[in-house]
Amino acid sequence: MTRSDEPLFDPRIANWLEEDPYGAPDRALDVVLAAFPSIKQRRAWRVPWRVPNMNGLFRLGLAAAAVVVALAGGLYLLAPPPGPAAPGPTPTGTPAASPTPTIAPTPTARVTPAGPKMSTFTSTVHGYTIDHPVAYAPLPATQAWPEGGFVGNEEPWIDRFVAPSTGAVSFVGIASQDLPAGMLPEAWLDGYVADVATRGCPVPAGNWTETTVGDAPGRRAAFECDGLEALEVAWVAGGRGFVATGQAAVIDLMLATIRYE
Amino acid sequence: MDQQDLVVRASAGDQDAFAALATSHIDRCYALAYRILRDPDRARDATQQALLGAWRDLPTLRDPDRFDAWVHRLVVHACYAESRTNRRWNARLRVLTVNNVVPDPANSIADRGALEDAFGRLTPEHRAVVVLHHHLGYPLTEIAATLGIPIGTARSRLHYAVRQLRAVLDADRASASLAEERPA
Repeated sequence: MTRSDEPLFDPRIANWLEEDPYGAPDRALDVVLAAFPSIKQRRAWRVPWRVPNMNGLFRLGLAAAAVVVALAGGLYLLAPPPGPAAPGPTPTGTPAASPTPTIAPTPTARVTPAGPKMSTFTSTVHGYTIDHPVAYAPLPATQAWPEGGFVGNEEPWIDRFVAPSTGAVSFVGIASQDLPAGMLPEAWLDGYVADVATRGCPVPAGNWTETTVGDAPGRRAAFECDGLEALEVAWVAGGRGFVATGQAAVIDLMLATIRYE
Repeated sequence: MDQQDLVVRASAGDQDAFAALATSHIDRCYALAYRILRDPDRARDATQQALLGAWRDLPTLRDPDRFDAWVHRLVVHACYAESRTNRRWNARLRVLTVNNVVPDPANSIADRGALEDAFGRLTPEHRAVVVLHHHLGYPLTEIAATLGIPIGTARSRLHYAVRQLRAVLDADRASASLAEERPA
């Protein structure tokens, strides 16, 4: 049966859909090719659904092994805990030993070699130079970052890199401000973390982890904005506090190349 | 090198292989996304998200032969996500661009406008089954497998959507015939 014989097929609808465009905009492919190398692939930790050529003897062996494991587990659970042979009073008032804190590896902006589709942008407002995918056209900031101003996707104090035209998912924004005299980098970062938790697309305070951008100390946090995965990075370099926000993969790609005036 | 080899290599982290796959599939992905979303910017974003997701999740694809259907599924889900976003980053509304579809004189302008309106009133889930069936020619079994839904759900969605679109088309045709028959 061809689809035109199917009762739910209507050629008028098919013809109407045929009128729509087929080709993706050229820059759409540029964005994908520029961004995907910096995205880590998810590894599939799985075992085959079934063991091939499993004969009866092998099945029997597996079953016996399962029984042995189950018995051993049961004996272990039923056995008294190791300790002094003589029973004594249970100590009270002693705090339980806290688990040893696990030190997670510090994420660092990945260094990805700039491909042929990268270009260089120098920010006159924020004092840095960075490489960006050609598909992400730079829209330079036109004013300094004012006190109390958020970093979003439209503010004039942000250097924006937008691809291919407009759209929240395909943008990176970078801005910076001088640290107040005497303020330590950690204090500025703490303040930014608190501020951005109240933004339109907030970054939850618990999402932040330590990072470095080049040699500069900073923090990074994944967050969601209208269902889209995004990244926020804040760091302090040369007495200035910097922020990058937007598409995660492209931010990492770009920050690996940042240098300051 | 055939597509299956490219999928296997890309799945193992070969960037050149994935670049070849993305290049060969992007137009088809965009065409699918455009037909569901009816907006070039959103279709572009959904296509990019789907392909970037394909690279990230490719090692989880069990059967390389299912790559096409799997990518189409990613595109459809990216369209769902895209259609739910109102494109705000900082609590500000963004003005969407008007799509610039080139009209085909074979269909009447009234039909096109009516279809566009009726299609726009469908949910993204209903639009997806219409596009998979009428544009890609997928039978119901393939639609169900691609979207990961029961075949009965696929059938009921398609039935509902086609009924809505046909009602608009038939009403439009009826009113046009009436206008022609009416004496001047």
